[in-house]
Amino acid sequence: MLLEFQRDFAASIAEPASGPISVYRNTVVSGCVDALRANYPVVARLLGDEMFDAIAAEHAGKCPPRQPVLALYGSAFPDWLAEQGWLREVPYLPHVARIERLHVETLFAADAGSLQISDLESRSDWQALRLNLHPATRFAWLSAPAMSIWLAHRDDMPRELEFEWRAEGVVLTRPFFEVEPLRLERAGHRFLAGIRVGETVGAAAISTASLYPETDLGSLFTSLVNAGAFAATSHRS
Amino acid sequence: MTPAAGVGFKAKHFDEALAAPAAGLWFEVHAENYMVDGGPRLAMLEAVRSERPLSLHGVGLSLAGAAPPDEDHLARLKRLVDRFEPELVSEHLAWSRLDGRCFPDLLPVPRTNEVLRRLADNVSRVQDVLGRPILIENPSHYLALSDHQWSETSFLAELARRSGCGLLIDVNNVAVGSHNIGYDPTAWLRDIPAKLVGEIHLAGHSLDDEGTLLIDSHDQPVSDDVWTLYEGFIARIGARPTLIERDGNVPPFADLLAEREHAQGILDQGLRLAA
Repeated sequence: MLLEFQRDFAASIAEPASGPISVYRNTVVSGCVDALRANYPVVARLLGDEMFDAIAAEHAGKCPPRQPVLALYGSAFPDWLAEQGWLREVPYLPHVARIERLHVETLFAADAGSLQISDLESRSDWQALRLNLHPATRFAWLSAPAMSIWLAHRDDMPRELEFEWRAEGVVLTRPFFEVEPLRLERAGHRFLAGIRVGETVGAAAISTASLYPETDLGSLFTSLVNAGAFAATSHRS
Repeated sequence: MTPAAGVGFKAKHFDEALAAPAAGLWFEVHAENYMVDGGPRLAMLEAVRSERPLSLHGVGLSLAGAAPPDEDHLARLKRLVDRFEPELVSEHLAWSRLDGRCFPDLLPVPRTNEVLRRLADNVSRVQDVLGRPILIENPSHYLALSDHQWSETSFLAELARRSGCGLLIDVNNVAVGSHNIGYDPTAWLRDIPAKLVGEIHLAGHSLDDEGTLLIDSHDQPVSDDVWTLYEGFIARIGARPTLIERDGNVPPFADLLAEREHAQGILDQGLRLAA
């Protein structure tokens, strides 16, 4: 009986309604839309509030929350955006959304200490050294200048944009309590991908150097360590 | 918790909330907003908790649904309770989960014997896992359901008797419901057994676009009629921890603190009456 009541009620708020039922429906929809706006602020800025609200409400209907923790809601939004036909006019949007999703994951990931350069001072066994990524480290390679667009629209006052239309990489870290965004070149992406799958620092460096011989691997590695990309507990094997 | 008045914590008020000198001030947060693995939000709550008593108010356990509480969600709540050791833990007489999907709302149920059994079982399950009693909040009403077998006040009292939970009485919800579906809010509050009440919520409401329904919007100061109901309630049952809730149009912290001082004045009167 109760289950039947719940299913009937859920069906009644699934469609636009008036009167008391609309109060429940509005709360459910606006709860989802507000959560998506909180997690995708740059997508919302790029689309404008009115358009974002309509799109977010449509997404919430197709992909409703599976958990009551709305801080983490919206993991399906970037891929869903990529499937929408109208997006052909703004092909960078799903990629910007992917960065925003990584930002949410970085922000709420587990706390941990970061590997420091000083931890590595006496090391020379790079072929044996395996590192863990810091739990908050996220990185991606995006087939659009999404990182430039995202960076330029993080504030209320978007900056004048001058960029080349090219693929870009991003790495997000959270060494303390603030998310630090860093641009990533192809070499950096290859190197981090190697570390993620368990390659030693030496093996990842050799593979990266063979693919991108012009890369200064020393400064790449130092910049990633300084950004807090690796976890403090360094020995994996 | 000594019966003092508290304020719903907002991140943007962090510095002022920590610096506020008010005696007895405490804070409440929605538990679900802190069910994350780490990061600044949890660190902020640690800082608040180190200075002030805390109340965890859950919105996602769906206790009035046909299914038992989601075990993962309950485990997350347990971790929060163990970490932050709140003075109070509360949830709602509502459902928000069905067939694998979650609704960010507090949905209604008819007060039937079946729902009462389900609720009592679900509340007991939560209390067993947490190892402590919780408080259950009365919902706001927009819709007059026809299948009730219990009055709301006797339903709440019976739920407390069966499960051992206490009650969180939201006076604004009583006012909103009395306007929307028609009952006497003073009589409603009079029927609540004083010994069951562990916390009180106060909030503002607003009129819907059609001008007919009051919405429990938490986006206005507490209204005069709610203050009057609250004063009468405290005069009868004595002082209880009382929260000023605000979720929309969030004003400067000083404005919330002023409302909190008003509630504290009423509580102090209640304490004097009891002495």
